[in-house]
Amino acid sequence: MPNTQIVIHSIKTLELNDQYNESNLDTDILDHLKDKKSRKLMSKQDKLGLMSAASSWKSANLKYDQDKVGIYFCVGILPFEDKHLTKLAEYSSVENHFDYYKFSTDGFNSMNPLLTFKCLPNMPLFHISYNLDITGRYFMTYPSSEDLICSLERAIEDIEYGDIDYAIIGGACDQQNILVRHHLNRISKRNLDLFPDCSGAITISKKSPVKGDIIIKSINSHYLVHNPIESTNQEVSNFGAVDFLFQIQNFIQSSSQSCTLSSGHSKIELEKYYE
Amino acid sequence: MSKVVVTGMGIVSPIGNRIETFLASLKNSQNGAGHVTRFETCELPTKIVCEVKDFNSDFRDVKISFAQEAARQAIKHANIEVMPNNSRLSIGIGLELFSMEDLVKVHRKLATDSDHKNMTFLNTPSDICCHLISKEHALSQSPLIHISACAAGSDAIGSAFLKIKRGQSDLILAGGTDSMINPMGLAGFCRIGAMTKKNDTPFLASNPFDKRRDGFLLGEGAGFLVLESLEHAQKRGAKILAEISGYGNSLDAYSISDPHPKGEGAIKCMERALKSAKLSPNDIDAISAHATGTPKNDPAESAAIRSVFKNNWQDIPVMATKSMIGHLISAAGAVETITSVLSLQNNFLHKTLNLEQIDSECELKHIIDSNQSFNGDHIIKNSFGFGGQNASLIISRYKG
Repeated sequence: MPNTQIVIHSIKTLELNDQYNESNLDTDILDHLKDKKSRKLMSKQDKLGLMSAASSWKSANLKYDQDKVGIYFCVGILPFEDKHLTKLAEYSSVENHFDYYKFSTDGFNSMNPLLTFKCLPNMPLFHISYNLDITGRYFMTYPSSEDLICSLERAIEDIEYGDIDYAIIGGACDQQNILVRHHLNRISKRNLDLFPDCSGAITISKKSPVKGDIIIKSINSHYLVHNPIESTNQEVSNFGAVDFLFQIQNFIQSSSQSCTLSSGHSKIELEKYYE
Repeated sequence: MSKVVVTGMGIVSPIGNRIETFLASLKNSQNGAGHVTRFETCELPTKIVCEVKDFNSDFRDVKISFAQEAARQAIKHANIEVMPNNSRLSIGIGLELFSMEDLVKVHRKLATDSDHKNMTFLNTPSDICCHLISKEHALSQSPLIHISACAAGSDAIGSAFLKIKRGQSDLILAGGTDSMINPMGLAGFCRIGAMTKKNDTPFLASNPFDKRRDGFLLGEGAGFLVLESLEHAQKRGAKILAEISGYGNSLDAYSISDPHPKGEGAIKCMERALKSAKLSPNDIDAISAHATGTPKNDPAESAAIRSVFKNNWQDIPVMATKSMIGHLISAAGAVETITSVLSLQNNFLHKTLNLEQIDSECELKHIIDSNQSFNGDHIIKNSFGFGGQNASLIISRYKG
């Protein structure tokens, strides 16, 4: 194929805020579920991930072989939800202290089996693959900007080597989560309101570009080896994966012809095809 | 494209914390099972696991220390003097340690500043381990972090294989680490009915493919392998232990909790691994099965194996390492890949423990009574994750 390049077919980003809240997400996610009842198995992170991935994939409107689509996804750390943890803590303590016997009886019995499905970080991958009927390759990783670069590099390599035709690359972060906020509070001096619940996804393939197509010209990851326990004052880039996707969306909506996006120490060079 | 070879290995496991002791335990059919010693199980339905023994951890989250130790062993074993500047870590890793004691303190608002500093789920997310290892061994590119549950260890080795084969790296330290032997981890698996309850007979509890299996036995540990391009390994005069010749992964897209009953996802990842290695099913000489010992997984994997190796499945011996060490979750694929390398190096396949009454749905060529001598060239290693993520690797004898 002459002049084939890696092209972004579509992008979807999502942020929970006053205008679009978790209740809206709970309703809208039903449009993407094969089985509506499966919503009860989904954490907020799962819903965010599926919402962006499904919206991006469907708007790309591609004819596909389910074995030749890959999913490359970044998710947050510890997607436990406070309401489950509050109940578990309540039923597992005696006189304000954790008690092994109480945990193994009342605490254990209070645990909804669904909690296990909701807290596993690889579950967004299941919900996306199941609801979109995708059985190709995958790469499931954490949510830093470097992790998104690794996901994007892997997706492009899998396309270049013919393992897949299309790739969905995305990320989902449940950052209002009590444990995540504890963690961020410890390592960052920044206002935690700057870390909303969010997700994003792009759909890419290799093709001959036409006018207006968004081309990925280059990706570059510069990894600074560090000890994260010692570097408590560094700028937090834990959730840079979704930050990158928001930047891509902003570029697409702008009048700029090209740009270099950066998050953490990583860069993506994009260009709008105009010939 | 480059050939990918193994030049070093390191291990922390329920049956040995050095490669030499792990090998001796495999040969002697050592069983790593026992009662939980790390905390009081009280009334939890499962009270038995396969714990790592004789190991002092610097971290409350023991899988970080397991990984550091196994990584050091592997780097030392590979005898690397100068780390190439495109080296990296590829790791499969489990969830952060979720401490119930910390949780209760937080919810009761009793945690002091000192408590907060030491809280595992607040200040040591498990990916810290990746950066610590990268720093210690001067691995200079972004770590490839895999969180695909029970497939993560094999995915980590597979990703490293692809990076080297495709000319992106000369050397990658690849493996996995995990421990869910903590109150929340054990209780979570119990709550979904995935674990064995044979508390009175821990040595008989992990019995993959047997009619009497009732769930998996939880294990813990870490395994790392140094993978290099053949050219890089030869240039520095490294001893080559084996070759990684194929990798494939797949998504089930079937059920949140169950594998496809005919193993369709498992079939796809095995076929993709064979294609990647440019091998046919007839070329495979042994199988290192995922073999968890759960009622649904073992028949699905057996069906998948019979489907892929339809002409000769009766002739291909199957190892189930989890019968000795339990299920190491995100470390399972890595430790079982080390088992396959040791099988090729030492010309034997270990027997599967506790397999006396083969389930009719699990009919395969099992290794039952004693270890088997082995002079084959290719072993396929399966790992299947909760949520339908599947990975297969092919480990091959290096013939120079």
